[in-house]
This record gives sequence, structure tokens and C-alpha cells, in this order.
Amino acid sequence: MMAVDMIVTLIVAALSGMGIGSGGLMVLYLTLLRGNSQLEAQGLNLLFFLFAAASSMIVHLSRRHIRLGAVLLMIAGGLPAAYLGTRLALALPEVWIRRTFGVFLVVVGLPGVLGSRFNEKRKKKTKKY
Amino acid sequence: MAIERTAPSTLARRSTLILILLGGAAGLLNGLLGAGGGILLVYTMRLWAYRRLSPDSEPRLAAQRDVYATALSVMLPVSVFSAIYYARAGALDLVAFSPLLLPSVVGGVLGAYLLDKLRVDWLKRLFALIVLISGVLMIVRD
Repeated sequence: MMAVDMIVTLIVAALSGMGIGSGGLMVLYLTLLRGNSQLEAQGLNLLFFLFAAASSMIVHLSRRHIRLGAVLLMIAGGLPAAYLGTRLALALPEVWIRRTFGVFLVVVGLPGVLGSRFNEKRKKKTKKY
Repeated sequence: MAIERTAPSTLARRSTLILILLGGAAGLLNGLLGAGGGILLVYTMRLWAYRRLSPDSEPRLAAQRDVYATALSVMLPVSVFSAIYYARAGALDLVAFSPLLLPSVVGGVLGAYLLDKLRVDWLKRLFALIVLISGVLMIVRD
């Protein structure tokens, strides 16, 4: 149902604007609850990310400070790698991609679930920026 | 917004290479999975906030509060590039996406405003749990 999709998209976009799990959640919704294939879901998620992140960026940026040189270097590395990654995504069997995605989610989720004690210690060492 | 114009040549050679490789890892992940480059960058930048990238570089790549914005600045162009490639390969369904465009934009702005107003720590833990469980499901499901 389109209405459900739109509401879910709104919620996930808001979460990503708050810095919570932007990447994985949309793909999860699309593949597990809505039945898209992994590749379809990834494509939709890319578009979703572009619009949700760009719009939240506009709000965030007014308060933030970015080092342009560092950003440009990372982009320089990122563009050819994105080409390679996309080619792999289109060439590899879907099961592999899905499992890789699953591993990625576990790697991301595990520190989040376990991590609060670790973060407390680190916070005590931090200077306030 | 402050963009500090640090030319790449003023960064030390080793940190230059590291940054290119870091961007490469994020780009690869993002191309392969359609997501995750930003997460990789944010985690890595947070780890490296306390380390010098090389003896004569600045001690940090981005201040803690700027990490997210920096990661987005990198991932937006990279994601555009990935999206173009997906589209040319026929893997991007623009018609299917069109009803989701407006909610994406509205949600993104909404979330950015809410960030300063809500406590999100417990929410983050909850979602980390959901992400973790889903990851396991994706691995074992066939």
C-alpha cells in the first residue's frame, strides 16, 4: 500500500536525520516487509538516502564545520570505489549480497547494543568540542 | 556553515593516502550494498578523533559534532554517482520511488530539527538491536 510506504519512508527519513541507522533501515523495510529483491531495495534506498540526507544536511550544515580538503580526498577515493562496488552488486548472486548486507548489519548493530559502557568511558576522556 | 578550505596539498602525504582509502572503502560499501558508506565514515572518524593521522597532520579529521555532516558531504556525491550507475544498469525504479520522494525530504528535515530537541540515546540502542536481529535474519534466511 502506498500510504504505508510513504509513512514508513517519512519515519525512516526522520530517524536518519537524527543520525539513527539511515542506511540499513530502509533496505530492511523493503526486503523483509515489502518483498522487494535485494537489488531493487538497494536502488530505492540509494535514492531515498540522496533526498533524505540532502534535506537534513541543509538543516545540519548551518551549524557545522567541514574541512573541505579532507572531504575532497575522500570523495576522490569514493567515486571509483563506488563504481567498482556497484558493478559487483550487479554481478554477484543476490544471496551473497544479502548475506554481506546481513553481516554489515550485525557489525553495525552489535556495538550499538553492547556499546553504552564503552561510550561512557570514552566520553569521560573527551574534551568538549 | 563553515567550510574550511584546506587544500589537499597541505595535508600530510600519509593522511592524504589514508583519506583516499577511507573514501574508497566507504564508496565500495555503498556501491555494493546501497548503504553503509556514511556509517563507516562516521565510525572511523569518531575512532580517529583521538589519533593523529600522521606526525605533521592536524590531530583530527573532524570535530565530534561535525563528523556526521562531514560524512554526508562525502557520501552525497558518491551516492549520486552510484545511483547513476544503478540507473544505467536498469536497477533503479524511479516510478516506484516517486511517491516516496516527498516523505523522504520532509522526514529528513524533520529529523534534523528533532535531533536538537529529543534525547535519542535509548532510541539508538533500540534500533541497534533491531538492526542486529535483522542482520542475523538476513544471513540465515534463504
